[in-house]
Amino acid sequence: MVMELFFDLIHEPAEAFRRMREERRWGISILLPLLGLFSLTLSFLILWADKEMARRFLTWGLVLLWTLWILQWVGTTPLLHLSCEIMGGRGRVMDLLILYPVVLLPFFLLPAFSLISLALGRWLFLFGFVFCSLWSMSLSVKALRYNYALEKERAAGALLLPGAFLFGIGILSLLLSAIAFAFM
Amino acid sequence: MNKRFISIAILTLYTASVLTGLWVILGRRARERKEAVSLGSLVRKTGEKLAVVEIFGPIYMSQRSTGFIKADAERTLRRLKRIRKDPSILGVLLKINSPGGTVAATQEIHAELLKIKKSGKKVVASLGDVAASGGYYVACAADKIVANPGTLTGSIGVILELWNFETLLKKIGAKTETIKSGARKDIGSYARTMTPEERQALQELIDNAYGQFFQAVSEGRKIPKEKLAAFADGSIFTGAQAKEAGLVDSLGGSEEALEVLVKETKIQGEPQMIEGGEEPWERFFDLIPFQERSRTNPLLQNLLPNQRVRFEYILE
Repeated sequence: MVMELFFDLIHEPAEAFRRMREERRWGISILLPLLGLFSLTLSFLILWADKEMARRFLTWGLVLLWTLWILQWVGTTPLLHLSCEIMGGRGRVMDLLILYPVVLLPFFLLPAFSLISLALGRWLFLFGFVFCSLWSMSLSVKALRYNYALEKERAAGALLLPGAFLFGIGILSLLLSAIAFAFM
Repeated sequence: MNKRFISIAILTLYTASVLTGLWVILGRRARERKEAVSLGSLVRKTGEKLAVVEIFGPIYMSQRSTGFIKADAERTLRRLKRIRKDPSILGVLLKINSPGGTVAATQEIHAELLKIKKSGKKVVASLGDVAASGGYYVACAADKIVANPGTLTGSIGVILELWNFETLLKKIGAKTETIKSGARKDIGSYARTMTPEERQALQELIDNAYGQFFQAVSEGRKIPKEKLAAFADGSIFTGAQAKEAGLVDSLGGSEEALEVLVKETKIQGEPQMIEGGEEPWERFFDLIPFQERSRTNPLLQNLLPNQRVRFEYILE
């Protein structure tokens, strides 16, 4: 099922989104990130970890990552929903909650990239990581377009808006902290 | 059909890459072997600990008592005290890359290292690019000193540099008004030429501080004073020259120094290395550019060099 979804996301993303939304695939929305994070973690471990570190990461590290993802998922979706509404879109936040985890699907490819990198050079992993990240972003934009009937540019803007806002807040906080310490 | 075939192909590729990845990780021992070699080809983990302490950059104390951020010397001291009180730590690898610093800060670290040795732990110093003057003073407290052949070290001496702007101030028609409680209260003032008596007084201070440095090197390195006097004139040496002079024990990098420490501590197995030691907030605040504020008039601060009178064991 996940692999069929994977196939649809390559060829017909809209069809994949439609199926997930209409069939209310909550199980996929919860399990898919687990597999995505497992793949992401595994790909790093293949290249950089020893046995002991891998054992620890694949148990507690993965549980921690997954928990963080769930928090991020539940936290980010309403922000994206708000962002899309600001951009003029109309859609349901529950639908977005179901669709959003597909952004982790491209990271399924990373273990393969890691193995190739082991043979051909680690720079290739960086290429693979950038490729998967860009694909993931592209899927996010498509999901927002589909769910909120937005134009491509507006969907991209909606995706970047929460990040840009948080980045701005972060920079401002750092500046204020630096100023405060300079006057201490 | 085509879709099903591609789906199965994707699934197979994914499963194969995951299984191969797990096999690569679980079968991996190269890194573990490499670590064992780096620790002297030892084979058994013992749980005994060695601490790594880094002394990088100038050695000085904070000039204020409050605030989250302490100068490196204070952090180092705090770390060394913790190490001294921890019975599970058997030795300290002291990585030094420092041109020296203020006399008191240097001596305080040196004294703490001597206390660590007295508590039964071993200390081995590994000298990096530069371990001169105060950087070398600190190293003298170690049981063994390992330097790279090209390390700059030595520079045994004390320095006090003061600026004299009397002529310049006269030219621009400026002068300072000094009200003082005693004749020597403004000793080292940039606004006037030093008197011979003041020079003599400062020279005595310098000689006294130099005597302390000389004593520390002589005792730490077990070099007779007559022999040490021949090269303790502020001269800088490479690591190779320093070894000939007896200022260091052997040549090598931090890996070799670690091997020496493992031998000194007689650990029969792979020790656990303890690094870092900063508090979490220190790591966070290190990210923010920060400088201690000077109390000098901002206008003068831009015009004049920092004219604080302080003695330094430092390589200029």
